[in-house]
Amino acid sequence: MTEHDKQFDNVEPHVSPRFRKDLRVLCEPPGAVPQQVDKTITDLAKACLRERKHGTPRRLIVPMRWAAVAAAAVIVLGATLYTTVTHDTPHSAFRIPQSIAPGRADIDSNGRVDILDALRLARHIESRGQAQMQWDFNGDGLVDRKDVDAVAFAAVRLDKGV
Amino acid sequence: MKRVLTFSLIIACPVLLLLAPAATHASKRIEQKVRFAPVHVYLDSGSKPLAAYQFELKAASGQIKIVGVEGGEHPAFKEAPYYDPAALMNDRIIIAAFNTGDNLPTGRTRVATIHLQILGDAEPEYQLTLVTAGDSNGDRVPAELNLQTGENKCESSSSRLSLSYCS
Repeated sequence: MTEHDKQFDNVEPHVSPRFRKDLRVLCEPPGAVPQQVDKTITDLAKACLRERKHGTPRRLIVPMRWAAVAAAAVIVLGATLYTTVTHDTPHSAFRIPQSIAPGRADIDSNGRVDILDALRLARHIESRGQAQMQWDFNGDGLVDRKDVDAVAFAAVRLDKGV
Repeated sequence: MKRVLTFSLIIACPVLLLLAPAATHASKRIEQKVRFAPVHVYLDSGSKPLAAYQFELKAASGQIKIVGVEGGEHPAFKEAPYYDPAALMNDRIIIAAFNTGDNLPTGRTRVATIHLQILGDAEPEYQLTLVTAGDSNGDRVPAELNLQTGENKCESSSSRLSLSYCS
C-alpha cells in the first residue's frame, strides 16, 4: 500500500456528525411504512403462495381441457389413418347390380349362371323377342342391357363359386 | 412440470398404440419385395367364332394381388370384361365377356390381361380354369385356355400353368 492510498483509509473520522445525519435523512425512504400495513402485505403474499402450492390454479384448467381435446383429436386422426392405411379397400369402376337369386338368372336353364346366360339374354333383347318379365332383374319394369349386366355380374361373383 | 409430463403421456400412448401396427406393416412391406406383372390370358376356340368366355384365375402358390383387368386384343373383346370388383387386391378372380356382333375372333386370341402385384421373390403358380366358352348362339364351344406372364406377349416357357376345363 502506498502513502497515496493511505489517505483514503480513514475517511470516517473526518465526517462531521451533522453531515452524517443529513446523509441519513437523504437516504431513508420517504415516510416509514406502518407495521400493520407491512404485516397485511406479508400475510396476503403468504396466502397467495399457499394457494398456488395446494390449490388448482385456473391457468392450468384451460390447458387440461385443451389437452383432452387434442388427445381426442389425435385418437380420431390415428384411427382414421390406421383404417385407411392398413385396410385399404379396392375401388371399382363398376356399380354392381343388386344380387340376383341364382335360379332366376339361369336363362338357358342348364343349372348354373354363367356368361352364356347373359349372351342369350342380350341376343334376345337385340332380336326384339318377347321379353319375359321374370328377366327384369333390376325391377325397373324393362328388360334391357342393365338386366344383361346383372346376369353377367351374377356370373362373375366370387362368392358363388365356379 | 408433472402435469405436462402426464398430458404428454396421455397423448403419446394412444398415438403409439395406433401407429405401431401401421409401422410394423410398413416395415414388413419394405422387407418384402413387391413387383408388378401382367398375365395375358389366351383362348383358342379353333375354327369356331368365339362370342363369349368365362374363366377363373387364382394363385396356386405364391402371393399375388390382382390390381387391374383389361380387355383383349380382338375388337370384340377389347373392352374391359366383367369381373367382381371384390377380386381386386385378392388372389382370385372370375372374368367373363361376350359379344353379340358378327366380327368375332377365331383361333388363338388374347381375351384379357390381368395385372398383378407379386409379393416376394418366388414366381407364383397360377391355376386357370375355363368355365365356359360359347358361340354367337350361346352354345358351348370347345376351347383351350392358357396364359403368359411378363411384359412379353409372345410365347413364354417360364410360365407355369395348371389348366382345367369345366364341363
